[in-house]
Amino acid sequence: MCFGGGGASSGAAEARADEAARQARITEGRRNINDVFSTFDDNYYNRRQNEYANYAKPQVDSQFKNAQNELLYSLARSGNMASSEMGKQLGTLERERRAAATKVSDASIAYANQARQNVEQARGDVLNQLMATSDPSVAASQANARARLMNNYNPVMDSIGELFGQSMATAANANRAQYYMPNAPGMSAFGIGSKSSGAQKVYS
Amino acid sequence: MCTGTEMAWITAALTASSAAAKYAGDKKSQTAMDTMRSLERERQDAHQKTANMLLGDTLETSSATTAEQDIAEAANKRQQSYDATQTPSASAQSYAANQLGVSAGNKVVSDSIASNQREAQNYSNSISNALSRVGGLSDQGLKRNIFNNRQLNQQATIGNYMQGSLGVLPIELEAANQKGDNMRTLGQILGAAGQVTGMMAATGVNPFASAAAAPPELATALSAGTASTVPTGTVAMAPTVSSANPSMFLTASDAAAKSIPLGVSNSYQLGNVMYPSWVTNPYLNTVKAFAPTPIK
Repeated sequence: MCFGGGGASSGAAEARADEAARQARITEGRRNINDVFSTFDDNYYNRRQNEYANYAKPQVDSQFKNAQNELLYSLARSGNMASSEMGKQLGTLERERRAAATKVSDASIAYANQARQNVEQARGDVLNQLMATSDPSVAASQANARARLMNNYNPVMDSIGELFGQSMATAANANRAQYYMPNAPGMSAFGIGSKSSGAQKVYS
Repeated sequence: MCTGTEMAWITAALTASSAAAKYAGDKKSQTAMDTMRSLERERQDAHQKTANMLLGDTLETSSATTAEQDIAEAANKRQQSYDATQTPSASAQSYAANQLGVSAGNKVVSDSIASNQREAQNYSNSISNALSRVGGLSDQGLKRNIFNNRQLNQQATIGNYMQGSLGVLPIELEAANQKGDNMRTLGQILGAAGQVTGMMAATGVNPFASAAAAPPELATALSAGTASTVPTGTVAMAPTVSSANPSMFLTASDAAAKSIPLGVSNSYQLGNVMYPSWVTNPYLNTVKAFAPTPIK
């Protein structure tokens, strides 16, 4: 018989087909997003890590060289170059140098981890947009835009700070001490010639 | 020609058919709805299975054992990075000797430098090893967060699929319910027909009676033109049927004698036998069950 039922059946089938199509669009969109963000692999994060290391390491080397020079000059002025004190001070400096290198490495890893978080955040944002719109083309374009943005992102890196403070302080304190100890060996800030020469006379 | 009993049976048959058709319609609807529910249950179960697998993966990798392994792996990776930056500095003693003319042959100085350098290296290694473990925990936490967020996102997608699929079910159930409409409509028609025949059976109307059921003699006489039509009002229907009057019809004289109003029309007389109409007269009943009344 031809009365009743046909319209409802076709409507139900259409509704089911629409839902299946929506799910298929979302699945396709997720695949597109994963493809775009798969470019952010370990090589990408290693490059971020190396970028920070390349930025900070020269500063470490420079500060170390300056600190080493200051220490050695201080030791020379105080007449402790040929002494165990030099070994002790140089050991302290070496410890600081290694700690600085570790600190730089640690900071570079943190920099790379921050990049990971940023990428994951961007990926999550694009997926949320996909779920809201069920439009894979929109999601794909957003994914590409966010990927380009992160690839071209150059954050301002903070200064690594003073890394050899202990050694530099030791040298500075030694220098100051020498200025006020007229009979101490080394160069004098109040007169001409070496203190160790013993040729000075103090006028009060 | 259908008698009253036959009409009753017809009514019963129509009523039974109506009930059967309605039942068949309901059954068809129920079967279709059950099918839709079953299909949806399968879809939901499939999605749930996928969700359970994702949850299982998450739980499997969330144990303390896995965490320790991840921390150790991250710590090793960090340590390798630390070691790569620990380039040995130029020998401080050589530097001092070259730059400041310090004698490199002083054993006390050499031993002191070497000792302190070793101490510094050991100290640095110890600190970096511990720092790698501390940093490894942070790395492991980041890795877990990323993994869990991705699992959560997939779970959310599956939940969205399940909700969307479930949202279509009411539409499908409504369509399935309408699949039995045809049979139910047929049942209603049969039921209505049964009600009509029931009323006819109760009131004595026989729409199925026809001239073909006429007695053979009358049919022959009618075709021969020897049967005459009795004018309307000449035969009355007996109010009761008794052994004295097995026929429901009174003779014309009896009707006149008893002043019974006449309500039969189109009766036929064949000889001295009166045959009432059995087609359209509402006062006629199962004529065949009664012998024709001889006209006295």
